[in-house]
Amino acid sequence: MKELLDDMERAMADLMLSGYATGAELAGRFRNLGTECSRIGLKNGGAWMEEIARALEQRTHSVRKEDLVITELLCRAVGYVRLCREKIQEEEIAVRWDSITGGSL
Amino acid sequence: MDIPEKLKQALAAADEAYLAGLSNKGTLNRGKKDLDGMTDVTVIPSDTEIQVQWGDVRCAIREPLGSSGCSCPSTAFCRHRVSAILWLKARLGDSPEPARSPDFQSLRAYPADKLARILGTSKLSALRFRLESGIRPEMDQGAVIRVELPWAGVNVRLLEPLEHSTCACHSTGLCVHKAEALLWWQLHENIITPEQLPLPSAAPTLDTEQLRGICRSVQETLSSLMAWGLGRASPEICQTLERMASLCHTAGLPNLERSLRRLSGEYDACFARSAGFRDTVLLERLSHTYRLAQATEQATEEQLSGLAGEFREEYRNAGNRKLYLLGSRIYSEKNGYAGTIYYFRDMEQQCWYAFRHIRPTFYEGRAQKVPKHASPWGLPCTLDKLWKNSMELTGAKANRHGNLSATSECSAAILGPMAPAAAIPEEEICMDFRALLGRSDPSRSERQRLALIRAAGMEVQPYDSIRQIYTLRLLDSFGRDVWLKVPYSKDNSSVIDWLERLTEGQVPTDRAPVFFGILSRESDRLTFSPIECFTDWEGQL
Repeated sequence: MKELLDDMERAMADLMLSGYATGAELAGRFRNLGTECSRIGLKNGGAWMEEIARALEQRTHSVRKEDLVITELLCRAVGYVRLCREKIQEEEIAVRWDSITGGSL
Repeated sequence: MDIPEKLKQALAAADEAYLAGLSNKGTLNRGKKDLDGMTDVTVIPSDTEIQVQWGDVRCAIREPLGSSGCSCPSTAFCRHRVSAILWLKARLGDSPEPARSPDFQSLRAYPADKLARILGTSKLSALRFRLESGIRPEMDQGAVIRVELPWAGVNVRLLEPLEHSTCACHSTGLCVHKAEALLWWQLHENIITPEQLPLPSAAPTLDTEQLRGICRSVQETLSSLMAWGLGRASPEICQTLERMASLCHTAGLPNLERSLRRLSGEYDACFARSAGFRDTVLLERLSHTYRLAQATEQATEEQLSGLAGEFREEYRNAGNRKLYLLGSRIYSEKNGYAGTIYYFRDMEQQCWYAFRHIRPTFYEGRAQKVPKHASPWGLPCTLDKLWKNSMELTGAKANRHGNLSATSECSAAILGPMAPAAAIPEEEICMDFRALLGRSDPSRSERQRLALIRAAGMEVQPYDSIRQIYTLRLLDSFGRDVWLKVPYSKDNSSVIDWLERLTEGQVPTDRAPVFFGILSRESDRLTFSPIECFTDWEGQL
């Protein structure tokens, strides 16, 4: 899950570097990430990745670019990744402690 | 003499105290003195006023007397007007009705919430604190209401109508002193009760429409930056962001302003090809700023002030506090500030307070020496000498983060040394480390992450010679661990030496030592930055 979160963050940082005009090329990557998220149980993350992919593809074919929508999705997803990391870290500490105490306490 | 009836009544009611209230005692005395020299006086009455002319002076006396005019250039109530009033008063003949003290109807009816708004949050909370502590201003009432505010060093004379009231600060408008004096008088006269006193509101009035417009612009600017891409962005972005930050500053959105300035700093680092630049950090900052602008735009009136933030931390009255100095740590950061942070435990409320003695290391381009220890609140010694001592602060002020102010309005009385166990109950010490996990949340403030822990065991870890970190594994009775970490520095070397001696059993201890420090998380470990370690918590050694 940590690797998937890293990949999500990397994809979003790449989109920030290259801009939305090249987003159509990245749409496939976001879609794959969305599928992977859904597969391992990150439903919200999966939905957002899917939406970003769809919005990037739509942008290529539209005259009026709805950039605010993509930015909003992207910013939400960044916050989501951060929250997931915090949650995972908390769980990892608890799991480590459980492995020490045998999970009985 | 044909004097309008209302003016006649006003003249009859105006005694020396009233005239001194309109001007001051000195001007009244000068006016009385000039009265003898008033010869060849011409009086021109009209329906609303009387013009009194002598020498090259011409005064127009009207009701209320405070609105009388004079041909001299004085903007205040001059001696000529005082002389003219006294001259007219002497020629009233039989007074229409005996002078009686006014009932101050307009002062009684003045809304308290308007006065509270003029006072502002800090002055209003100070007033509430004085009210609760039984501190009152001196006041007497006659033709004028005289209120002495010793804490502000001013004398206020309240008159009817209110706009003719005078204050030692010489303000012609309704200044904070007049507003405070009037509020005290209304409380004194039971026009309002302490319960009806408006609550201090942290929120200044905000122009919501303007704010929403600015937040929208911030979102659109950030969106266009993202759409354009960092690869094709020009360094002028930083100026655009700074302009947006200035707009936020003017509109009263300090949180968004700070966020935009931090973002601008991140773009600066990118264009300067700084080795410390990380695109993921820029993305995080960008996302945070965008979401903050969005949340502020969509906020309700009640939520708005919280999201807008405060420009300067407001120190509010914390009352009289009994504090115990538990520890201190050296603060030195790359942001150019250094000093010492002292941590206090409130012995009654059982909460943390901190006193941050932090100063800039550079001022006007020159390095300056920051005094290591502070001596606030009229203490006879520096704070470091008061470790494990309790003290009583009278009139303490603290901000919402629990940081104490060094204000001279607060005074401290040292109560003497005390064992930590006598000041802090045993249940405040954490012995089951599971309880620490929630408290180590990175979104919590440092104050919320402070903890007292007693370890059942300690395991020395190999010294990290690459990162230069001393690590000690603290274990509770169930085997859960917290990783105590001390990075090596000149200031910390003695701490590391002491911890090494402690683990080698060279330091006498009563029971297992109690560690006081700040919790944080690192990978899958709970880490702990120690501030103090107590080997004699009960004070029996």
